[in-house]
Amino acid sequence: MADVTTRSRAQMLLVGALALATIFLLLSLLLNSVIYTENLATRRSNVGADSATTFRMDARTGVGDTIEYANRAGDRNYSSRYADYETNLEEWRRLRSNFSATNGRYTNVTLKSGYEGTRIVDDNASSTMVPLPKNKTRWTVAPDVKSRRLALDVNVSTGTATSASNVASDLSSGDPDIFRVVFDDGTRTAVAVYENSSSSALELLVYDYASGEYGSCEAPNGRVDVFRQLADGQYCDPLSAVSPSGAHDVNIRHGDQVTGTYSLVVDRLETPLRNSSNQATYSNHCTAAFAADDTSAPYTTPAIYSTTVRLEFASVDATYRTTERVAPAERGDSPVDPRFVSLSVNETTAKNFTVTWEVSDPNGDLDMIQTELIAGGNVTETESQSLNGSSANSFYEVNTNESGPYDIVTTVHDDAGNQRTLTERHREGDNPGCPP
Amino acid sequence: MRRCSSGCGNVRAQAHTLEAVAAGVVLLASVVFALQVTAVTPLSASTANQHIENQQLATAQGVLAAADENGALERAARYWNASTGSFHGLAPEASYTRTSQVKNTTLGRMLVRAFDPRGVIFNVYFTYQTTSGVERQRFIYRGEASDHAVTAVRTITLYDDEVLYDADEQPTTNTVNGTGNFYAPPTSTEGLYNVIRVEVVLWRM
Repeated sequence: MADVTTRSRAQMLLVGALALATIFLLLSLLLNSVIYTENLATRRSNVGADSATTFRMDARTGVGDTIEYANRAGDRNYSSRYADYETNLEEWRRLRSNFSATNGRYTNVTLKSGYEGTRIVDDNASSTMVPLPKNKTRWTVAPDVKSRRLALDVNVSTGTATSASNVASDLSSGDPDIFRVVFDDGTRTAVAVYENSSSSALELLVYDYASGEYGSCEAPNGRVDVFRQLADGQYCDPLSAVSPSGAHDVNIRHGDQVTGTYSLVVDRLETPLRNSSNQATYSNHCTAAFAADDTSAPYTTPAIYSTTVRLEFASVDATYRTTERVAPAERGDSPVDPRFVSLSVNETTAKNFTVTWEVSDPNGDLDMIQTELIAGGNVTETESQSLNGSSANSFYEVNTNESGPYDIVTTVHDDAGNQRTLTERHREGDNPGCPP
Repeated sequence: MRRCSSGCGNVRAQAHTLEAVAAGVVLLASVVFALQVTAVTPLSASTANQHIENQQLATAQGVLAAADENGALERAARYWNASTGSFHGLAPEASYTRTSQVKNTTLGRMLVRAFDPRGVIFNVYFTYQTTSGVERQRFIYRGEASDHAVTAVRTITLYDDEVLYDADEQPTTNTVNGTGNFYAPPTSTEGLYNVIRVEVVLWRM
């Protein structure tokens, strides 16, 4: 160490004090930088967008609930259901915007359009889930549809208690006596409800026929909301496997094993859907699988499938406008297939059928319509007409020299390759009315 | 260097003292300055940290969204006993306070699972409109909220024909419009009964 004299010691004291002071100042600068960095890092972005997003979520739920209410209450025709939806949504808008106004925000909901579909209902809790008029264990509730909101309330009335693995192996090898709803979009997925032998409570099983995989959830009260993935109000993960792509069939197997209610909304219109379901279940479009009105179960009723609304939100921080399509409990894409509005086949003169049709397409890409007259197992006559746009209606004639019975198969196609078919069987001289 | 004989020590001692005092003053001033200039912001680590409030709000919004999705919000809003004119198991005008009571409903269980392990308390209110304004019904009340509470909000809709739920959250046959003593009054003659805003107020213990 250097030889420190008294004069150097005094300077060192001052220098040391200055050095410490500088260090303290630097430390405080460092601390402030840390605090400011934490401030920046936790700063919430999109503060204005938060309330806009909350409003959008609330509006989707509110519009969805209004659609469901209009579908279950009121007269059984689409225009009156849509009018109910309009008036109730206006009430909802008024009440919801009062809440927003107390926070200084403006909200508005404007109706734009609705898409008609059909609701298939069995609201008789003591009836089984078989079609009219015959107790068929295999029936097609809705063929070739895009569906949403399948809600079941099931009570297993007959059958033996079993376990999930037994049900899965029975399904893979045969046709067991277990109630199930089967979705068929090319590959089949089944939702089965049965009594579990060890817990003596109801259970549901989701079985994928293609892969053989299955999963089960408890549902002691038998309430299943398939596309919302709820079993008795609790989230059921295996139900996420039920996600049919595009148009699919909804079938019920062994509906005689259970009693209860169900409700399903599909994107086809009522009369073509009923004819199609009769044809798929009984090979005859005239045998009515559904009741003529809502006094018996099951029945069909026109319903709102989806609606489009325009949402507006304005606050001091943000302005937000969007157009929303709401289809409660729909999984997958919106409907793209063309559909029949009406179809009638009349034998105007002997062996000469006039096919009067009206079709529409949600995307506006109709391509063509074609009718084939099949006699004796062969296509003897074909008539077609090219189409475009989102709706069309006309008529044409098909005739033949062959003798009946005839299967008249009408198919509408769109540009994307989607199609829907209606089949009617006629005999010579069965005009008018529904032939046997 | 001039040799200092007598008297020099005094001058040097005073200089030393002066420099020591100056050094002390400089040090003291820097310490005081450093302490004063430190920014104490709402983000300083404390129970009032803004970051924690943001986190609680985000968590509550997530729980409310999940509860809406699986119907727990609807069941909680209609968890009304028509014969006693109160929520199940309570006297009229009372609300759920003990954890065992709160866990009767799915919504209560979801909130307890999300917040109790974190030491966060919550209250749940149902806010609705009447002809004379906005009123608030307590559903879960576990204490007076602190100054740093946050509120998460979600809106649900009640219709005339929707049914009330019993103590086990099973549907009954009483409808919302049919009871006459439901906490929210009907607001219109249409099928819509009322729009209820569910508010969850949270704060750290």
